[in-house]
Amino acid sequence: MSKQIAFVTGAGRGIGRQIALTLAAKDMVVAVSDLNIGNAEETVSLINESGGKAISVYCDVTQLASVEEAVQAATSQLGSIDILINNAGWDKVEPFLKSEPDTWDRIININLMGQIHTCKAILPLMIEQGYGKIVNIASDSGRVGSSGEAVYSAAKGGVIAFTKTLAREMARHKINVNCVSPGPADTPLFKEIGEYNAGIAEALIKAIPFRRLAQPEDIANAVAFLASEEANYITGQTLSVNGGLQMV
Amino acid sequence: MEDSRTLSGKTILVTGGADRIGKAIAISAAKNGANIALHYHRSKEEALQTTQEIATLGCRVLAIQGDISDLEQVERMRDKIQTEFGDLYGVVNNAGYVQMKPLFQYAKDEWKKEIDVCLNGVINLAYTFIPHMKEKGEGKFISIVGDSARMGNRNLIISAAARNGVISFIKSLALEVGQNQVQCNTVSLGLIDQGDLGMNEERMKKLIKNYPLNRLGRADDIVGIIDFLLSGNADWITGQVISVNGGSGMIG
Ligand SMILES: NC(=O)c1ccc[n+]([C@@H]2O[C@H](COP(=O)([O-])OP(=O)(O)OC[C@H]3O[C@@H](n4cnc5c(N)ncnc54)[C@H](O)[C@@H]3O)[C@@H](O)[C@H]2O)c1
Repeated sequence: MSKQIAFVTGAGRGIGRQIALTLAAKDMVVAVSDLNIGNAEETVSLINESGGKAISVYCDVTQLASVEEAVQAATSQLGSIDILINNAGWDKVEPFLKSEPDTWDRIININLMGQIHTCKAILPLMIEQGYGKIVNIASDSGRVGSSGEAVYSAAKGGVIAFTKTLAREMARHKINVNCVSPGPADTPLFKEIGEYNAGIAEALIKAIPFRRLAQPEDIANAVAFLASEEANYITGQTLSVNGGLQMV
Repeated sequence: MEDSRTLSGKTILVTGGADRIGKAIAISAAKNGANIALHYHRSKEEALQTTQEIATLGCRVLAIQGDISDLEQVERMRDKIQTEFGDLYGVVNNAGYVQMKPLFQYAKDEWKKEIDVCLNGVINLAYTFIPHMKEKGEGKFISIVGDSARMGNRNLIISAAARNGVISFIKSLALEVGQNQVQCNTVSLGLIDQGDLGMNEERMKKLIKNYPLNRLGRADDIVGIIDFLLSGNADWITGQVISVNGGSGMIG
């Protein structure tokens, strides 16, 4: 069998970078996409250094046109896309009543519209080849809520519902669509949030039964499982990877 | 050469492992290098046959009889496993006793046995095997339930209730033993066709309409998630319920 090709959004750093590394280590060819192309290129070098194959593509998931161009660029170099990992995401943590419309738009555009755009662009390829796996990165805030993350949790809740309907519509084409829902993870985004929310990491660690934040590897391993043949009968599901912080 | 298989040298207990789903799980864990404690209740012949099959994979295997609804028998199982293999790394509880009928067709108290096996069985297993895992600071406890436990089913009313109890039990347990790095999770199944559903074609067709992936499950569909949850790759996953059901239910 020829190598599987995975398209990962927001793969320039954090969880997305680790997902790209983990999939490459499982012998997949990875299209490393990100808004920050310098970071994406760095991820590609890391993959190349460990003997894997990857290319970098610029992709702003908030713009359908940008996504279409990125998909075009990826397929012209790699042939097709078998696996889509919707990881790009962003949040600003603040009380809902202090938040402003511009922030809402940004949060919804990146976290929810971003996944809608990539699915619109990539699903036709998967349908044509009669095979595909999509793993959408949600968040436990979308399952149980989270103070300071009102609009973000709405967008991530939207991701979970979007996943379920796509799973139903796409099943006949042998395309599986599932969510991985991370709990608090030790990434650049979380560090940013910690900069304006003193003590948040310590408070969370106390509440997590395993007493630590997630490392990107923890999330990437679950993504890799759902992207594998071992998960062929799993679709429309949400798997939380959170050290026991929430149990839904 | 060092054995790099995920479960190499670790002992896994699979309950109800004589045939069907339990057997598939046991074989897969064996292929991943585990020593297998293969529990059975009544199916001695099948258990011995499965044990032989597993032995050909080059790992150690022990067939072990017991009624999991009886704590003393579970404790006896623990002692045998301890003598044969030493410490247990993981429990996959696949055993169950399920009657298919609506509540008002049950005779008085006829449900007790079902609750005893499906819920108390899991409590007995946890009570007996988890203290050692806590001490060692590692371990995996997985129980299998049906999606009826998450969604209800009029013909599985008792086992579904007992197993909804299992889901809750495993969440509380996960909270209790998280600090000891023991992971506890539930895997919830859609209908698995093992060739004995006894349905006519028309009913089968109607049933499959509820399964977006357009077929019922097979024992092989389950092993992937169990292998994953038993592996180090799932060390940050605890207290969760994941359905393997061809899309027939999408909860949470
Ligand atoms: N870190 C956590 O605690 C946590 C918890 C739950 C869920 N998540 C989710 O996990 C995913 C990854 O988070 P992370 O912590 O690694 O974040 P991160 O900020 O470290 O990385 C996110 C990546 O997405 C990229 N990105 C942002 N906007 C983009 C856009 N419009 N188009 C393309 N790429 C864009 C960024 O450039 C960055 O490389 C996100 O979906 C996030 O919501 C994270």
